[in-house]
Amino acid sequence: MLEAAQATEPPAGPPQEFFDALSAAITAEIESGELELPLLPTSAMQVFHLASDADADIGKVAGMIETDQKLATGVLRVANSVAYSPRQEIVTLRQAIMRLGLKSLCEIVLGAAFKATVFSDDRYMEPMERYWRTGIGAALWAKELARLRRKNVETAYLCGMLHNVGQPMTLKIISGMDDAPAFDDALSEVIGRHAIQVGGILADRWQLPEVVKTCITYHDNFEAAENYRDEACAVRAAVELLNSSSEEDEDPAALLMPQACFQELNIYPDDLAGLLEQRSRLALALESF
Amino acid sequence: MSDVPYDFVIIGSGPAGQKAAIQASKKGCRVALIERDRQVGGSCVYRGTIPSKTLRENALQLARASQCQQAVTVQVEQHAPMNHLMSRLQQVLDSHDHLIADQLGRNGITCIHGRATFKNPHEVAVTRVDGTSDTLTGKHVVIATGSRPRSPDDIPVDHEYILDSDSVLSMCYLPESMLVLGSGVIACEYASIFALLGVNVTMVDRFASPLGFLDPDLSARFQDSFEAFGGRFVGNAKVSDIYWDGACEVVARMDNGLQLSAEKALFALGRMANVDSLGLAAAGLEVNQYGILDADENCQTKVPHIYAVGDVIGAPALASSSMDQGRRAVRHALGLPPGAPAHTIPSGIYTIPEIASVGLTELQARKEYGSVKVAKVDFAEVARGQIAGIQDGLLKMVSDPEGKYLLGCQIVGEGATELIHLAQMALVSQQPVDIFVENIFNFPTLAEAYRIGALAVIAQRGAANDESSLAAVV
Ligand SMILES: Cc1cc2nc3c(=O)[nH]c(=O)nc-3n(C[C@H](O)[C@H](O)[C@H](O)COP(=O)(O)OP(=O)(O)OC[C@H]3O[C@@H](n4cnc5c(N)ncnc54)[C@H](O)[C@@H]3O)c2cc1C
Repeated sequence: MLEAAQATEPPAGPPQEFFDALSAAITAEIESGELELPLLPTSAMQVFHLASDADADIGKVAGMIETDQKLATGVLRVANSVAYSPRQEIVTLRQAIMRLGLKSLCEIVLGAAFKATVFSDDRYMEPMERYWRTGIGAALWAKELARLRRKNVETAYLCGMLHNVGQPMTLKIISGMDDAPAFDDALSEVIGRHAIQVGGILADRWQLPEVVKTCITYHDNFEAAENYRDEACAVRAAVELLNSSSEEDEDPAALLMPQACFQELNIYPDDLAGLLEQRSRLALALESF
Repeated sequence: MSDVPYDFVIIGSGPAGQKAAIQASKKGCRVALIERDRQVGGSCVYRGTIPSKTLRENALQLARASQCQQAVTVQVEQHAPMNHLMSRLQQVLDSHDHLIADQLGRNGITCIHGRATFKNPHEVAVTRVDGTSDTLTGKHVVIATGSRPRSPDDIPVDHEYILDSDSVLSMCYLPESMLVLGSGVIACEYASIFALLGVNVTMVDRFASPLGFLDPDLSARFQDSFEAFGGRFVGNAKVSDIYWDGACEVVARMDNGLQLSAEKALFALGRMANVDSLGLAAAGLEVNQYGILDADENCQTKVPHIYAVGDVIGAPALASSSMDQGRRAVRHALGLPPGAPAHTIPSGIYTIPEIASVGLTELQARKEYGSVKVAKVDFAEVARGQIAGIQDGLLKMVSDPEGKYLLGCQIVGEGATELIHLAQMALVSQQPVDIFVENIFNFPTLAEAYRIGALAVIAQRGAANDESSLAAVV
């Protein structure tokens, strides 16, 4: 019995001092002002640019996405997913653009670009995938919350999707270090220490809208947000809803109700129950990404 | 459980509930005001009158600025951020919020944040947002729960592509094109504002013309202006199917085979009373066939100590009338003279251009009185209209068959909602039409149109009672 327990026990990770040193290295890198952050693929940036041009040439847009293989695959995959419920299979990029229109395409390109650029790392595939699911899951819940509260659905989605962007970014920084350790709770804790700051820097470099930056910075501490407090609070609530749907809890409403974010958003128990009825639909949509 | 009995338990803090609360506290009553939103003020402040009028005012300012094209070049950017177009809204809301909170506080009104439900005719349970609840006992109860946009099952309002009059204000950017379903007051207000801002607006209604409750010449004048700045009205068409195509546009199919599409759609076909969570049966009440509460001219329901005021009792469903109903209900409950009920409530429609109406329309007057005397004055005939570039205006005075007393007045044109009060005062004090001629108005003003209109009515009087002294003034 003892032997069995010993056999399944994970090998001990590096000592706490290691993680403190790692954290100090990250701080130093941030403070140097030369933090290396990924750029959004040029193709994605160009698609955004073109999408706001009323006379955009569809062929040109398709051409741009085609130059980026990862992006092209991502677009086709999502375009065919339940979330976009195509009536027939979409097999070409041109078809995807015609079917989806530039605006939805933009949403997909943005998602695909983020996934390819920020939420991926060969060394840390599994946690990156988890961060991505948290972002997209929060985005889907943020949309539902926005609908309920008659707030802007598109902004809510973007804020949800990027609220945790600092986590994969910090993990990417660590991945670039020589002695990057395996992912475990201690590493996750280090990431937690820096994620918000790194996310904020990324938001500045990418010139993301101020509301998105606020949600990245204040979703865990919405009371401190000077502007866009409501949006940050809604992201917090979306994350709570996402967490509650991944747990198999019998009565998620009872757990969620006392949380300050729901009270701040003026969500009454029956509104919350109504929201929670969407759990399986959103879980299905999340599977598509 | 609070067993402290209040003299008044008031449900809803919109214009109706607020004024009821203040009136009651001014008479020394203990008042509890229950509001389910975090802030007091009602849909008037946060989702209706004030935001829509702020957007309108800013749209007009842009339009005025672009009229002075020699001096400045103004063009609303396509996809202009809505928050730029709604600038000053937050300041307006904040100061309004302060004002209301201050007024309620000064009057010693107990404001309770929670959702009210009747337990019995005198007891109201208040469920707080965290699910806990209390019970309040009221000697009198005032229902002032207002209304919300109607959303029928067959219209998939998703607040993203197909919006209602609440969620339309949440748009981030001006869309390129918009379908507006309905042509009542709210539909026409938003349709004309967005059209002025350069959005390609198509308004659709099953009636032949917009704002069908006005005389046709007035609604035609509105339609002309709306179309002059790029809007389009499609009448005699009922939407049979509407959906977001899952890609780029909202598609609406009409019963006459027409198909329209746009980037966004606004569904504005009426409002519904907020009664669902009230537990009316426990109070001994029910809604009528129109889904609203029945109340008499003092806003008393069939349960004598329960009053219903504001949008929850239906037309005219205005902030202005709601305030009066709140005050009136409380005075009646306290046995104080509520004053004669106002029969001449003016309606202000903040379309672009503005429209206002008081008393009878020409059609209503003809039905009631047979032949009536009608005068129409174009703002182009008025110096102020020419100076201000308000040439699409029209003032219409309808008087009795003798041409003696005003029966009603309708105005289309900027300034209409202010101007109408002159007609209202003449109506309520039953002044002869001559009052507009015998008194001197500032010059140049749009109010001069009344004088011109009055002269035209007087000129139509029979020779026998023609007051030649006045005719000479013409
Ligand atoms: C877009 C738009 C533009 C408008 N423009 C104008 C205009 O220019 N001029 C004009 O005079 N009118 C205008 N109106 C109409 C005006 O807003 C309404 O007539 C007015 O707000 C009605 O006041 P009320 O007090 O009856 O209800 P509301 O203002 O709707 O307030 C009702 C309150 O009751 C609360 N409530 C509901 N149920 C409960 C419950 N169970 N427990 C506790 N609280 C509850 C609600 O949260 C709300 O705050 C406009 C409306 C809209 C939608």
